[in-house]
Amino acid sequence: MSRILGWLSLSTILLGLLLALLYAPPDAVQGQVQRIMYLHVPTIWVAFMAFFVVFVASILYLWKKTLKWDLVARSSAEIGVMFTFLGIVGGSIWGKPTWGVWWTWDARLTTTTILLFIYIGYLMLRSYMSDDNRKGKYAAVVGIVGFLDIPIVHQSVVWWRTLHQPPTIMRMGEPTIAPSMLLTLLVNLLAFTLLYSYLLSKKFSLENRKEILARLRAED
Amino acid sequence: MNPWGYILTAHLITWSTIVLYLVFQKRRSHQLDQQLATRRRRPRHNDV
Repeated sequence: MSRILGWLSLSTILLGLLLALLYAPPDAVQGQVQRIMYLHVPTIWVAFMAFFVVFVASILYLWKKTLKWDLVARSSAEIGVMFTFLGIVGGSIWGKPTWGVWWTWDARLTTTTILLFIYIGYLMLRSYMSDDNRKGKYAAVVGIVGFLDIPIVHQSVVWWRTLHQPPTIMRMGEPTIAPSMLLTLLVNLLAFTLLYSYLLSKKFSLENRKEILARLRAED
Repeated sequence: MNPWGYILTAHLITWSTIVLYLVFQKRRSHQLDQQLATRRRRPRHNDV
């Protein structure tokens, strides 16, 4: 299953790259550099999705007390941190030619950076606590509370005057984007979603084996 | 820098990070499999 998912995500990524670099037209205002959008938006999409999975798995862990949900949460958090970091780096590279600066304390950039630090804190909490039961519970609380930053990140461009552009797809009414650009973006969103599912399945299997090994060591 | 310079830099950083992450996961997975195989082969103290 994981192997099929791997090949499926690789082929969709290759198709997405072809569309992003060759098929999609350059933007009327930004020119060629706008092509970074096809990388930047799916990266942040995966980060949000990963933290949503942490949120749901954390609730389920606190409710059902099943280790499986804790493993899902911790696996997804690590992937989310990596993609948030990549989203910030990609956005910064896009910012330089369009805004003239690599970084600015804009509301969207600042709330996304806070999101990154919340989940780095989540991973640090997990690695520094020794009591497994308390570790799972405390991490689940951070995973649930930390997710509250995501609606703030999404709405930041609406609530505050920012350099970052407002939503173009997830907004009221029709998307303000050309159909060929929308198609390219949707293919890349699908490719990154498949990639996330593949990475999560791999990481979950790894965390599961770590647990089995820890239990075998404890039994000795 | 040329616009394509920015585009390719963004892609290079993103994809190399993801590939490196996968390589480290693969290595860790291999190590865990070896450790698990060793544990399962070894008789437990209370079995003796």
